[in-house]
Amino acid sequence: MSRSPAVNMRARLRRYAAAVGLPVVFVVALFAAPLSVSAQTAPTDSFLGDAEAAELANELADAKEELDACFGWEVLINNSPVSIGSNGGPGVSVESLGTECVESAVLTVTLYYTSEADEANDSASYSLISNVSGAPSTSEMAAAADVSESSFLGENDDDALVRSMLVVPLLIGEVRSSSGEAIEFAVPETAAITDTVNGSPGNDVFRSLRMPIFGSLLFGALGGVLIGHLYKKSRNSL
Amino acid sequence: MRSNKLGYAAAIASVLFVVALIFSFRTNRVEKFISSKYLLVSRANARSAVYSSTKRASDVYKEIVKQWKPGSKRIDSQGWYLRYDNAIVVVTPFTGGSRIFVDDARTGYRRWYGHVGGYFGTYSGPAEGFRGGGPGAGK
Repeated sequence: MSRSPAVNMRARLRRYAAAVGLPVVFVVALFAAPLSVSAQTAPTDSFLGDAEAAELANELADAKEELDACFGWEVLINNSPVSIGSNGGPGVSVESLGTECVESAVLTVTLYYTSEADEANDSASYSLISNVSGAPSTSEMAAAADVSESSFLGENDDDALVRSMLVVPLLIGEVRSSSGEAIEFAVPETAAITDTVNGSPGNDVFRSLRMPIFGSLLFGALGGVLIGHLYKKSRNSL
Repeated sequence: MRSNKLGYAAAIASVLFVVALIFSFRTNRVEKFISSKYLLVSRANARSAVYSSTKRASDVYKEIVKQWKPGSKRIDSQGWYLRYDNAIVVVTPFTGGSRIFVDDARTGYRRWYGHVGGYFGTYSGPAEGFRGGGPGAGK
């Protein structure tokens, strides 16, 4: 009994699949295993890192308790989201919190990276979309948090995001407090800790008056040279 | 003769400048600036004092850092935390304006540990994941 050409073809394919499939499965498994391990350990927030994203979300959860408004952030790099979070947690957008958030403020940072050879054209912008009364403008945020668009392109871009996000509930709180709204703020007692403050951050006077001090020293040095020159000249003329 | 006088004058001026500089380093402090500009509310001891202002906290913060640049600083949803050579200054919004807390560095670090721990000094507290918001949530 001879088999039809179609049956022969299927049998050949099965043999081929068996011959090629096993090694392929083995190779795929070999590469997939480390990938799945790295997927477990890699941070889910590639911009902030998981610990910092959780800390920021915790701060925003506290702010929500105090101000009864939702707060969130979103970072886009070349239009792809790389960091999202809110008072609902890291990875949780304000929109997904639904009716819990009648009032909300969402900070969006947009970064465009060009090729390494074209670093000068990297750009950043940020904006706050909010319906919370007393929400700050971006210029108010910049002044109060010491951030500018270029802060998001530097080495401390994560720090710039945290500062510019946390300054939002801070500034909303101060608008409410200055209008007479009672602010609950308990001054913490000193904690019994073994941790200590780091060594000196440098002399305050030198840090604050660096330019006047250098200016005076430069002026003094130039004055000294001039006086020396005049002295020498007057002696020579005698 | 005239040139000798000029030389002496320059030497005296230089010495006076150096003395003034040393005096400035020793006496000028952010604490002095704050005590002269804002209203003292309470002073627990020589190491800790609280001041108030009717200005917004962000304006007070800007006034202080404009005059005295901090060595490092931190912002969170409750205030501005400024680290100086011998002091930690904290500016927070407060009903009707703002409060300025001034502590020496060690006392300030212990007081504001929950806010600046790990930023201005060592930190051996637990690493914290997201604890969630909602009723009952808190630091």
